[in-house]
This record gives sequence, C-alpha cells and structure tokens, in this order.
Amino acid sequence: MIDYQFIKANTAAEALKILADKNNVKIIAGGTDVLVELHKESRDLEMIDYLLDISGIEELKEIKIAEDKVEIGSLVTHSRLLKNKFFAENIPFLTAAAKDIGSTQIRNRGTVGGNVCNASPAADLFAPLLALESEVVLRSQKGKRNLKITDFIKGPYKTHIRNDELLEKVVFKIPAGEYYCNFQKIGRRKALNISRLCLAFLTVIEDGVIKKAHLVPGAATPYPTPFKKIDDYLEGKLLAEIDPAETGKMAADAMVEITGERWSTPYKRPALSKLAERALSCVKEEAGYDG
Amino acid sequence: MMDKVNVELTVNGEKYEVEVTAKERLLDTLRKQLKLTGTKEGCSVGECGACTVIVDDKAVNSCMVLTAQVDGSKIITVEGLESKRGLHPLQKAFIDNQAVQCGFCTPGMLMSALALLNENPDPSKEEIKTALEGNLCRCTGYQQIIDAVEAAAAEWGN
Amino acid sequence: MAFEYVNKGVKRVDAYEKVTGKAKFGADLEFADMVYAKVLRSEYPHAEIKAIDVSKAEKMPGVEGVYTADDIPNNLFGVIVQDQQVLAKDRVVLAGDGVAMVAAETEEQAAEALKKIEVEYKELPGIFDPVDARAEGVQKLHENKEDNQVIHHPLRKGDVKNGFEKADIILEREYKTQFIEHSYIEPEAVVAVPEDQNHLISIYGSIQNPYATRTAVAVVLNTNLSKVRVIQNHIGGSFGGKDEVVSAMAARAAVMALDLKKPVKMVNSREESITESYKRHPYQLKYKVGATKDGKLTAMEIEAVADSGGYACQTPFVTWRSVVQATGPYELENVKTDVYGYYTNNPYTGAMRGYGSPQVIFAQESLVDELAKELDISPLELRLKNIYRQNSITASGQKLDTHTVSLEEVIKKAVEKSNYKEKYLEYSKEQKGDIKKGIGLAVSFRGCSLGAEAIDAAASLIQINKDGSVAVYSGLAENGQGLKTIFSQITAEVLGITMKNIDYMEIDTTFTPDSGSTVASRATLVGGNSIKDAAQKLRATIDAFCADKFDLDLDDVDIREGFIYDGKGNRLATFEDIVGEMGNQGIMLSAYGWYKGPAISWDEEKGTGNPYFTYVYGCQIAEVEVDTGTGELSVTNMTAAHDVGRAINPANVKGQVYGGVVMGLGYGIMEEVEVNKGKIKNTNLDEYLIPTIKDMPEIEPIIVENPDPVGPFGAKSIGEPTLELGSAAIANAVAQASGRRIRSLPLNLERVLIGRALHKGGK
Repeated sequence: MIDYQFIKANTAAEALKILADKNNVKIIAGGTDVLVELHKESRDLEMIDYLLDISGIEELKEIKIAEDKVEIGSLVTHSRLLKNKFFAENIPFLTAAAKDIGSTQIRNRGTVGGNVCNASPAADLFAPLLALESEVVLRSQKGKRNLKITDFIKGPYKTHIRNDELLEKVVFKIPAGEYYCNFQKIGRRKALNISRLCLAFLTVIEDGVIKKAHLVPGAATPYPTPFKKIDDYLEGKLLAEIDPAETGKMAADAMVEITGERWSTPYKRPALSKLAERALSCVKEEAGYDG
Repeated sequence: MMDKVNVELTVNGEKYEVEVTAKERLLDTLRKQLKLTGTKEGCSVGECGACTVIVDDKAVNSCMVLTAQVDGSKIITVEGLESKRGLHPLQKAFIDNQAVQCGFCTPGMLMSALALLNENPDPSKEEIKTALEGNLCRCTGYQQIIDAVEAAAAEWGN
Repeated sequence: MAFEYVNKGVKRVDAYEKVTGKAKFGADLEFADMVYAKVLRSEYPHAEIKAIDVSKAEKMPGVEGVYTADDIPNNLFGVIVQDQQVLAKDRVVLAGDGVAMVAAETEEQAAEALKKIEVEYKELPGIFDPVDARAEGVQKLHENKEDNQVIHHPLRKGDVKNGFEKADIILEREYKTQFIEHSYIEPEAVVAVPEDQNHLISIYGSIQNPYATRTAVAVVLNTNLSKVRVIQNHIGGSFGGKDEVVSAMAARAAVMALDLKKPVKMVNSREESITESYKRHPYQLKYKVGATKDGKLTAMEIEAVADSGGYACQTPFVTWRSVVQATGPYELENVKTDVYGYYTNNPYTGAMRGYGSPQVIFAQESLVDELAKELDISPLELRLKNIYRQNSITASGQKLDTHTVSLEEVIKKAVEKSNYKEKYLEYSKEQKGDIKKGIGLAVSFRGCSLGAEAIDAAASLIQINKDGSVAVYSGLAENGQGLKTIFSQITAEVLGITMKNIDYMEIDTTFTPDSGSTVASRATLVGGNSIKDAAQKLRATIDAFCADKFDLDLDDVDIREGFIYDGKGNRLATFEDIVGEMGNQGIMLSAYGWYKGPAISWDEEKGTGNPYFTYVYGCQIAEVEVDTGTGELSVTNMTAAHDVGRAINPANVKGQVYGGVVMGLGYGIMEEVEVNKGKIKNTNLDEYLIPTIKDMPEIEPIIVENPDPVGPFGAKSIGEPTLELGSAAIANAVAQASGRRIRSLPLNLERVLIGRALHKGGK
C-alpha cells in the first residue's frame, strides 16, 4: 500500500534539508510522471515515506541565457521552454523536441528536470540535450556537483542522482560559430505521442569542415546514448561531401550494434536510417550545400 | 502515516479551505469535496483531458496534480463559466456550432479553449488544435469543436 | 415540402446542461447511504476456479460485503445466448472475467479488500485463434455446446462454379481485421438503488440500452421485469459499447444493493473498462472473385471467420449483417458466402458502431481495387460497372425497388467534390521524394435498422400539459447522437409548436413500452416514426377540437409555431389556450406512439430473403500522404457522401459524419487492442491510441437526400454508415501512394513501412 507524508518545500535550501534529514523521499515536481505511478500503484511509490513537493520553488524556474552558456532550471516547464524566443531562434531543435511532448496540459505541468530525472528511453528532451553536451547540476547540503548528462543516466529509468541530491539545473554551452541543428521524430499519431523514434543532430562547421558532430537518437536504444561512432566518422569531413543516406545506414547499424536484433529492429533499422538521413540533409540544405 | 494537509483554494472565485490526504488529486477534491462534478474523469493518466481545469491561468489535467501541491492557487472549472450575465461566449459557441454530442469531453474542451483564448484571443486553426490536442473526443470528430472555438474567438474580438 | 423544424440545424436540446457541467453522468450520482463496489477479475484467460477464500477480505476496514458466484440468484444472462456469467463460478473463459466483488464504504476500501481475496486457479490451455477453435476434437469452451461454433450464416445464390468458369480473371485474397475498443470517453458507471419508488431495484447509469439492462437484471435476480426500473442518465458515449458489459455491472450492483439494502455504486477505471468490456470482432476473411476482362463480376466466394471471444454476446447478429452485406453493393449472379463465429479465450466481442460491416467492407473494397489493378481499369469505372442501381437484385435475392437506390448519385457527388478523377491520374504518375500521395474510394450499401435480427418496433409517449408545455418520452435512448433533439424537432413539426415548449424526458423503463435497443442506426427511422405517430394522434384530436370550435373544415385547421390559424392564415388562438380549454373539458392530451417496421424475411439455411426494409448508400474518398521513409501515414482529406433519406437536422448529420469519419480513421490506421494469449496489453488511453484533434483530416460531408417512403419525413440512417468506409478508402489510397497493398488493419507504421506488424516478444 502506498502511504507517504506530503512535504512541501518553498526554497531549494528547505528541500535540501529534507533530503538530508529524511530517508525514502521521492521528489514530485510537475507530477505528470508521479501521478501516473500513483494511479498504477507502482512498487516504487510503495517504498517511499515522504513525497517532497518542489513545484513551488521559484529559484528553480529560471532560464538564464549568458553569452556562451544556457542554464535551464529544473522546474522550467516544457511550455516555458517552448515559448523561449532565444531557443526558438538559436537552438531550434530543443524547441522542436519540447513541442511534441504530451499535450498542452502535460507541457504546462511537466518539467525539464522531471523529464531528465525520469530517464525514459523515449524522453524527447534527451536527444537534443545530449547533442548539446549538457551537464546536470546536482545540489545537496554537502555541495554541488556537475555531471555530464551522459554520465548522469545509469540506465532505462535510472540515474546517478543521490538520495540527498536535487537536480538544480541543466546547463550547456551555446554552440559557437557556424552551427546547425535538427530534430526528427516519428510517432504513431500526431499529438499525445510517445516517440516511436526520434533523433537530434547538432554540428559545428568551420570552413565547410565538420568540426563537431553529435547524432543522438531517442527511443532507439535502452537509454539515450550518443552515437560516437557516427560523430567520429563525420568529424573532419567536408559537410558538402557527406552522403546523408550512407550516414543514415551507418547510424542504423550503430543502433543494432547496441541493441542486437530485437523484435522491433525490422522497423527501426530503416526508420532510424531515414531519420538520420533527413537530419543530415536538412542541415546540408540549411548550410547551402543542397538545393 | 497518511497525513492530512490543509489547503486553501480559490475555485471559480470562491475561497475554500479543504483538508486533503497526501494522495488526493485535484480532480478528487473538486468532484468529491466541492461537489463540482462537471469536471470528468476519463483515464486518470493525463491522456484524455476530460478532467482539464485551469490552475493559475494554465490548462492542466486535474488528475495529474495533487491538491496539496496547489495550495493557494486560483482554479477555474466548467461551473465557473456561466455567470449572472448568462452563458460564456465559449459555451454559446459550443451550442451554436453543434460542438457537443455526448458531452463528456465538453467541460475539458471548454477549459482548454478558455485557457487558449485568455492567452491568445486570436488563435490560428493550428493553435486551436495545439491547445486542444490533449482533449480526446470520440463523438464529434473535432470539426465542430474547432468551429466553435473559432466562433468564440471572433466574438471575443468584438 | 417546407418545414418549420424538420430539416433544420436547430440547436441541441441537451446542450445547455452539457456546456455548464450540470449534466449528471453515472459517476456523478450520489444517494444517501451509498456504498461503493469493485470487482476482482481473472488474470487468466482460461482456468478452473478451485477455491475462493474471501475471509480476509471480509475483515478489511469498511467492507460491507464480499460476493462470489454463489451469491448470484441466476448467474447466466445474454441477449441472444444466455452464456455470460455475472461472476465466474467454476471456470473463467477470458482474462477479465469477474470472480468476486466487494462493497465497502469507500472505493479505496473496496479496492484494498479485493487484494485480500484468494482465488486458487488451475490454468487451462486456451484457444486464442478462432481458426484453431473450429478444429475437430479441440477442447470445448462452453460445456453445454456441441462445439466452439457460435454461429454459421450461409448464403447461396446461383452457382459459383459456373460463375468462376465464365470469368477471365479470378482473384483470391485474404484480409484480416483487429480488436477495437469503443473508447467512449466516459468509463462505465452504474448505481443500483434498492426498494426505490415501489420497485425492487432501480438502476441508474451510463446505459445504452435500458430495456436490455432491465431484462438482464431481472433474469439475474429471478424477478419480474416490472420489479426492475432502469433510468438512463447522460451517457458519455457508447457506440454499441455500453450494453452487455453494463448489464453485467448493473446485475452485480443490484445483487449487492439488495443484500445490503443500500445503494451500490460501481464506476470502472479506464483499465477496468478496457479489460472487461467487449470489443469489435476481429475477422479473418477469404475472398475469391471472378470477373470478365471488361470488368463485369461473375462470381464471389467468401468465407469470414469472426472471433467471438469467451461469450456469444452479439456474435450471431453481428455476423448476420456481415453475411447480408459481404459482397458489397455489387450485382452478382453467383455468390457463396459463409460467415462463422467461434468461441475463443480472447476478450469477448459484441456490438460496435458498424456492427459486422466495417470488416467485410475493408475486405471487399480492397478486393475491388485489387481487381481493378489486375484488369487495368480504374477503381471508379470497375465499381460503376457493377454497382446496385434501381431494381437491382441483391445477393440474398432482394429486389431494391421500394426506395431510391442512390449509390451512383452518392459516388458521383463524392467523386466531383474530391476531384477524384484528376487526382487519381495525377497520383498514378511517378512521384518524387519520400512523401507519396494517393487517393482511394470505398462504397457501401447498408441495411437500415435491425433487419431480420429481431422485432423492429418502438414506442414513445407525448403528454401535453394544460399550459401548452409538452413532455416527450421515448423508449429509445440518447447516447450522444442527438436523438432528443431529433425527436423534439419531429414533435414540434407535427404539433405545430415551438421547440421551447418541449421538455425531453430521460428514458425510464417505467414510462414507455420496451422499444428494443438503440442500435443499428434505427433511432431516427423507427423511433422517429413512433414519435410522429404519437404527435399525429394528438394533432388529430386538437385539429378536430379546433374545427368544431371555430367551425372550420378539418383540413383548414393550421397550427404553426404555437398558434392556430384558419385556412386563410388568420390567427385564431394560441396553442396554450386551446389545449387549456381541451384539458378543462376533460379531453385526454397524452398519446402513445408505436411504430413497427415493414415486413422482412430471411431463410437462415439458404441465406435468402428481404433482410432489411430499406437501405442507405455511401461513398467515402480518402486522400493520404505516405512517408515511405518512416511509414508515417497522414490522412489529409476525407470526402464523405451519404444518402440519409432526409436530414432531420443537417448540423447533427454533419456531426455524425465528422465523428464517424474520424472513428473510421482510427480503425484504419492506428487502433488495435493488443491481445497476447488472451490478455490485453494496452489497457489505458496512453497505449490504446485513438485519433486526436491533430489526426483529423479535412472532412467534406455531402448530405444526399432521397426521402424514403417509410422513414419519418423520409429520414433513414446515418450513425453507422459514416464509420464503415474509412479503413477501406484509406487502404486503397495507401496502395496507390506507396504501391504496397496492406491487407491487415490497422495500417500502422510497421505495416506501411515494411509490410507487416511487429509485436513485442514476437519474432
């Protein structure tokens, strides 16, 4: 039976004290995951003694944009992310990913921190955040630590957050110079979708040469993982000479290397290949190499 | 151990002090404690939108919120639409455009539409669809609901 | 003919309460001393129940009573075959069968107590494919039956052997359809109130068919029909779905309410609803068609196998509609059709909007397109060579001569509006890029109302009060489709009063005679005629009174919008004054209306006769964009032309078209109850996907009106025809766009991209 005490924290400091003092605490922010677990009477909730509500902590609701760096407070909702003009203009693949999460009602409650901490294989924000080489800032009463988001994820629905820690924000550097990004998604319907597959691609170009490339599929592997092999392949090459279809096939192979042949592979292999191809084609076109 | 939490809510302009359990959803408080049964339960997992209400100007699924979380909030439910002056333009538009069939999704649809028009009085068709994408309807095929929201928006402009 | 109210898009009479939140649905009801009940359901699709221990549950806090099959006076019920258990006694035949139930002070307490019930099962091997169920020597799922066959409907016309010999081309194809959930947004809810108003028990709730529910409850309680009162509340959608499953729920609640002498409320969660409710029948269909090289059909041979799941439910009638309509609206000299239904250990299947037609239409309309391709004739041309026209003879030998056979008109209107011909040519050319467009059409004829399934009659009651206000009762139910509004319009039209004077009453089995079920798109046609009958009786009385009072010829009495006029248009009195006066003189101003459909016939052995007294015709055209890189499918446009006889309320008819088209789209491209070894995997709306507002195509409804000699003001049907055509039209459009013919529903990502479905755990 699920039986817990509800505690509301109004400041991050209050929340950290509770996390330090008490055991078996679960954090609730927007509630769009926790309430589903509650309805389904999940085992995880049976183990907790306290539900810590952080949804009222104003200091975690900020988006800070500095010259070279972005900080997204963990309680920023998907709706706010979506409305942010800077992202729409400069990091549009993040906006594109946020746009398709759940529905308006879900985006009004669901938070960036919740999406990251839930670590669902199909969580749409992961792909662009990984491509941006984001870090998470975790705070406890003992101090703070920064973890690369790739190191933060332990597995499907599992992260390396410690019991006394609160995810404070997600930070990433704004790509410099000439860069392009793209987000692709396949769903079974046109709204209220869980990604069947998605993919984020970010590349930095210098004199036509790919300086940096990050191709990150979502819902393709047990948990979001950058496809380093593809990145390595792309880096150093002339963008104009990249064959998107060929690269797409390589990305699909890379996926199957990780997952093995699964029941869904006959579909996901050609589909992921196509998403990667499209992302690369879009970027090439945007860079003026096609058309 | 399940403790009770005292919560103050302003619902449709009226203040309520309620005692809720730590598991009580806003949907339960509205329906069971305040007897505002216009808000409907269809799936309990944030998917169908029948329980949509407005919390602090935002449309949310009331099945996805613990009442204890929204202490001090301003809430609007379907019961808050009609006033002494009569039906709200959205309600009139839903009637005039045959946007109602079985009526079970209607309260949630109205709330999503209201949140939209409050924020964006002149929405495009695509914006209307986005605002209502979290409200499932099995009867109408949605067309006459879109017509109604467009008509209400036009009325809003005047 | 000019009308005041009929043929007008008047506002719905039940809209006000629905937009204000005042409309009470089943889950909104409260009664003094009410308790809440929950059902424990089997996880096994097939198992023997060895023992049930409820002792721990009985001791749980708040528990008022724990019940098993032993507590049910009569445990079997069913509209057609009485094989459905209220609670499973010795054996569960499907995953979701109720085995025990608990009533407690709160819903949470009832749910907690359920967890303490210990059931000892012995799992039995299950049958999960109806084709396996028909094998010889296979285990019988219902012991008192000879085998697992629920029903077999044969139809024989001419000589198919001969017909195939005349053919230049013979095509054999197999098609498959899936389990579908009704997905009414309101999960089922009932309240049973004991000793209520001189009845043994009253049942309130989301009930599609109050009389069927009344019968089920009376049968289960072993009592008279008059002891059971069923009152329908506002119902949050049904689509054929809130029948047997709600009857079972009502019977359970009634048993507990009578034992506890307290009102018992039961409300399903979405998971409970999807787990326990019946689905649309999946069909496996084999079609063989012969045609001459210029496209004239010579013979058709069909075998369709329907999965009935654990119970017979509506399978005998659902499959009957299939056998009547299986060839589609095409003239054929030689037909051999066999439609079967078999018991399996899958979820049981029953009525759902369309009722045995969407499956055969998907097959037959796909087949016609496949044949057109083989013959190198356009799909439109091939159809026009073979469709039913005035005086055509159907597969069962019925001559279509009593109504306007408007199929060609309907097709032409849809073709013109959608620009089908040009688009078909354009999309037939090589298309660049991954996104390919296609256009496809599907046509149908559909028998209106029940046909030879059952007696087709309905009643209504109209009472005129002395102040001129009017109460209307009908034995058919408002399920969201707009019946209250349609019936109010007919009443106003006949009586010559305004809609404002009319109060439409909730259906209550106490007040109106049994009118059968609100199914088969029969409400407007059959129920509307009974309303018209009652109103005409009253009108005749009033006319006679006025003729006498004002010294007029009977024919000169005119009543319009609440005023009495003479033949020259002079206003003589108000309706209120006249009926007030009549009341004071002791003239009765209440009337029952009754309507029984014209005679029909069916020979069950040969499959011959006149199964329906009239038909409707429809054509839908789908335009799609197929992403051949990802399998994503976008239905961009749907044109839907339907002959409705006469639209009593055109705005309402359009609502039916929009809703049916979108439901048909869901059936065609995304919906599927995933059943693995009898267990449903997707039990909520996050996994069972129905179309959202963003999936809706541009829909162009075309209302075609050829008044029917039988229908009220010429009206026929619209509810079901709108949904039955979409999947076939879409599949045909997808085949044109992608070159891939998909013969299984739904046309999901995998089927569109790689031609087959993939299932978790599958190979």
